[in-house]
Amino acid sequence: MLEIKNLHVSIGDTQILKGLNLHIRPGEVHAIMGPNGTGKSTLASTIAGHPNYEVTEGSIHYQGEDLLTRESHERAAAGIFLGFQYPVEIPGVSNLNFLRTALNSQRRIRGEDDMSAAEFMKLVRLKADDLGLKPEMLKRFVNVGFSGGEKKRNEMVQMAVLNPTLAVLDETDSGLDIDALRVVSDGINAQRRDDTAILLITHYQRLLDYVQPDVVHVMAGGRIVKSGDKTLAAELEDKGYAAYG
Amino acid sequence: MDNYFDTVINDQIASLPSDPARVGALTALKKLGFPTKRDENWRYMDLSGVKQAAPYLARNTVITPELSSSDAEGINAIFINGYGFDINKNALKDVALASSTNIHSEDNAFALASQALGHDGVCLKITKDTELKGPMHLHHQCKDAGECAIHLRHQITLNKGASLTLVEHFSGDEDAYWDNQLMQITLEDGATLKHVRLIVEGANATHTSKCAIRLADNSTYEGFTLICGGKAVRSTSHIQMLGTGAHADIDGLSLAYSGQMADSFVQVEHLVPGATSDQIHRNVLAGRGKAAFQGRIIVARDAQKTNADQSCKSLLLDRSAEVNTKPELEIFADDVKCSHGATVGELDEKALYYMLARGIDPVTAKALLVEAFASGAFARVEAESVRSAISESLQNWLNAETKYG
Ligand SMILES: Nc1ncnc2c1ncn2[C@@H]1O[C@H](COP(=O)(O)OP(=O)(O)OP(=O)(O)O)[C@@H](O)[C@H]1O
Ligand SMILES: [Mg+2]
Repeated sequence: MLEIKNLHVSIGDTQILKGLNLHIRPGEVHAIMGPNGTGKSTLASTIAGHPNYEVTEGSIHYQGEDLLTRESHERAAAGIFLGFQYPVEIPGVSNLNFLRTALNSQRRIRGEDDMSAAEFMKLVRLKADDLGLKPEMLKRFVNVGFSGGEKKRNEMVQMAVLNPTLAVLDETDSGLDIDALRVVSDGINAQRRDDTAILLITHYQRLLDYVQPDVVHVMAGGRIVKSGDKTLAAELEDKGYAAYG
Repeated sequence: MDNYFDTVINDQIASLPSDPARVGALTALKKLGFPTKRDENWRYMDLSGVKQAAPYLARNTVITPELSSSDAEGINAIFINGYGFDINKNALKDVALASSTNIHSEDNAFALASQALGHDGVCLKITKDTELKGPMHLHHQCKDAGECAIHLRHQITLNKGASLTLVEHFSGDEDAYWDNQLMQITLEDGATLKHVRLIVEGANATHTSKCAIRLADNSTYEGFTLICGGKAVRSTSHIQMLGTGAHADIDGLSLAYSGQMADSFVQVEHLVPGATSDQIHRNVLAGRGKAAFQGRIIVARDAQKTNADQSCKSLLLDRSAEVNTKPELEIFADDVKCSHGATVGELDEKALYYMLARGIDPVTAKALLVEAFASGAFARVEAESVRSAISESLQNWLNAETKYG
């Protein structure tokens, strides 16, 4: 479903990813763990098509197609969702307007009709309720004045409404209280289907207790240096990254 | 231009119905002359269109106005090339015609030109405690006028406790006309005027307009001016706070892309104690578009307890756009609260990318961000129909900007 080969990425003159390989099949959940600054968010941004990240070598294919030739919004329409480590505030644009515009823009790119206002409202209210986001927060400006945890919940509401086939969730668990972590995990599990894939970037094993990964990768120095099953996460929790420095 | 003040203007005035206000204005205008770039108040304005068009007065040709059905709803007056076409008298039954003799003297050359050479536009009084339902719309349209000057003078008085929502629409075709209008407004005690002006002139047009507003005790003026069309547009607002407890909001949004320039000049004079004013202005510039905002706040020596605020923010969509902002505070009282602030910024790259990552195409994403920024300027406009007219003009401007930049 997602096939990354020998990926080299730089920002300006700095090389961050140095030959990364990753293969995710439909229905799988993968987790990436690794020390700060190794390039986990860089990988996520590159998959999403951030213009500042330059791919100097290697390839990314999604559902058999070359992803690197497509722009960000086209990748989103193709079903790729990036849950931001730091969700962005957009003063003056309401959550509802933002989400409805995003959904319909994706549908148009895919050649589908717009979703009606009534249908959209029904959907978004349902998903917000599932994820414990208060309905009045939908009317507020995107992430403006939201607490750290509320921003992450909001990301999950967006994911649930947009219903992607590949979700790349960059530290969606950080900043969440214990109850919120459970709610968000339920949201992620709801997105787990035979035809979807999920890539979790996290520092903590706790999330992986709720969302059980099929594969855990350790990333260091801009590469994946070890892969294993979920026991690898427990091992890391225990011993840290010293062995991969 | 040289012979304009010597001979042309005399001929022009001779062709108009005589009235004493013209004579006084003409004398003052001849003495003052038209402004030039050397005048501090006019340094940003492109006056070339005025020079070209001034010698030719618009003629009265019978033209049927073109209005879409949504425009026609609630229409009260249409002026084509400065000539009144239709005033919906039914809607104005609570209104009396004002006399044009109590016209206030003006110190701005183009306002004087409107007084000397203009036809009477709307001259009305809203009688005591009358609350007109629904907005009153004035449409000013220029059509097949050629290169000529259109002068109009309007006077509106709201008697004690009266209230009105007035929406003015300025539009025109591709001709290089000069639309020059003066609106004098008097708000008596406790009167409320909501005044929205949508200046969407034709691509080659020059527009100069002045709104002079006098506020008595406890009266309220809520003004909003949108400039989003015309080769060179200058909007002057002159607000005189003459009564305690009076309040004025003077908000504006200027949009300009290559070939457009929007110049806003707001002067608020606090002449008595205990009045408040607030200005929120936004500029959005694209391509080689130009905008200027000069906001002058004058607080007279005994105008204690004045509260006067001003905020001007500009968004540059391209590095080649130009904006000049110039706050001027002249405060002679000591117990006052005055503030002003000006910022210039670009589109928030992070917000833009966040939108793209959610599947919003780049054109829509940019439009959403521009709208979000611009809407700060008309947050105080309440009437839904008026808000959507503003949004529509904004959207049209954005579409044109994407096409012609
Ligand atoms: N715009 C930039 N310019 C230069 N260097 C950058 C830029 N953005 C990120 N980097 C660098 O790239 C490296 C990888 O950053 P990245 O955010 O991908 O790390 P991460 O693995 O997600 O870390 P964390 O666990 O702290 O989130 C870091 O050294 C960072 O300083
Ligand atoms: Mg990171």
